Amino acid sequence: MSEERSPAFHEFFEATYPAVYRAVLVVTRNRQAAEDAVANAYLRALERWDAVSGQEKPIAWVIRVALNDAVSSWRRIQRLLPLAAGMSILDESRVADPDVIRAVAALPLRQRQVVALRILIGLDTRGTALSLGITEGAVTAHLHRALARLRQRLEPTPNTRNHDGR
Amino acid sequence: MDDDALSERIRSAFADISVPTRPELVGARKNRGGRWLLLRAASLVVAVLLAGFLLLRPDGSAVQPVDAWTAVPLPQDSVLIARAEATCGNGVVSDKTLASRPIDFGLPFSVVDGRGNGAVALFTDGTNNATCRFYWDRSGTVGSATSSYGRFTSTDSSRLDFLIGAGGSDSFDMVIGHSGTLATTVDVELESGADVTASLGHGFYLAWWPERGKILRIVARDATGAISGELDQPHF
Repeated sequence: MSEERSPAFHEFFEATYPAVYRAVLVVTRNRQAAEDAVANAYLRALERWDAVSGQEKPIAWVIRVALNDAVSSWRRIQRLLPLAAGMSILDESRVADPDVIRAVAALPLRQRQVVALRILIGLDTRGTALSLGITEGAVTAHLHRALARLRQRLEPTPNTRNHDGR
Repeated sequence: MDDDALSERIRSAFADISVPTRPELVGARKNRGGRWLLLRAASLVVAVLLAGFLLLRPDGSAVQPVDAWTAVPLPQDSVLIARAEATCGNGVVSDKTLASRPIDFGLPFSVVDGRGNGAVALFTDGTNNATCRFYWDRSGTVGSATSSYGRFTSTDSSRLDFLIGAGGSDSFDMVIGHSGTLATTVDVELESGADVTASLGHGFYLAWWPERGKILRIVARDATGAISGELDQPHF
């Protein structure tokens, strides 16, 4: 790795890190697992920056590696901290719209992955499909189902509200 | 609420979630570039693995220090390969293991995994194999080496596999296998938490570390970063 390429990595890291972390957090629903996986992914990117930076979307490479590593990171945390159940809860104390956080966290894994990549990272359908190893049609279907489920949860119908007496 | 409005609401909600700082990554440019970061990451792994000063016993008789072992291997440059071939092929091999020198079997060099002042080299024709462990001092002079001969249980090089593991002592362990057709990197995840990047060559991967360490996972990735092979807790 040349000294001249490091600034490019630095800029890439600062521009993408918050979104990548939040996207992986959506998938893992665990801060420590997300932090470990994302840090490892950026370290790997830095080690191979000449190759990674030459790709069409380096962020897609990073998110793919991070998501792949998230599972093993979470396993490692569970081994080291068997009582770490509390860490798996998203910190909602400082967010203005916790209902959305809870609703997204309650989605099935594949739908969370698609929401994370398509909405939080902003990857297109093709990039999302490549990152997750699924077809573009599957990405579209999962996103459609995810948004429908979120809409249903976040926008109760008038009948539902009446039925609940609220 | 249409899809765009809902998507914006999701983005806005998650933007409130705090992001942990990574000063070591931010500082990679401001300080000494990527090499500094790699050295720092490697030093952390060394601190965990070595916990001070660990020893490597190359031939069971002489005790040699493992100096500056790193999770990322030395480049397989001409110097390291020449050292492996000279040492293990027909050079300085202890009398104890003289009969198992790679040259005795006519096995060609395949890959060498150098870390700090030690290395393990693999010589194989695809089936018959000889592994050779050696170390050198600060001047580059090889102190001693030992090698062992065996036969691989599989010759299928198309996919990631696990052929040789366990170094036989508490201060040394290694793993060797086929890397698979698509792999450009292979990482070995140890129970200690260390991630060891393997050396690749001629369709094989090889990694060693200065402790007896159970392998949790071996992951091969292709040039795009996608996983091309994965072994979970491999063992014989």
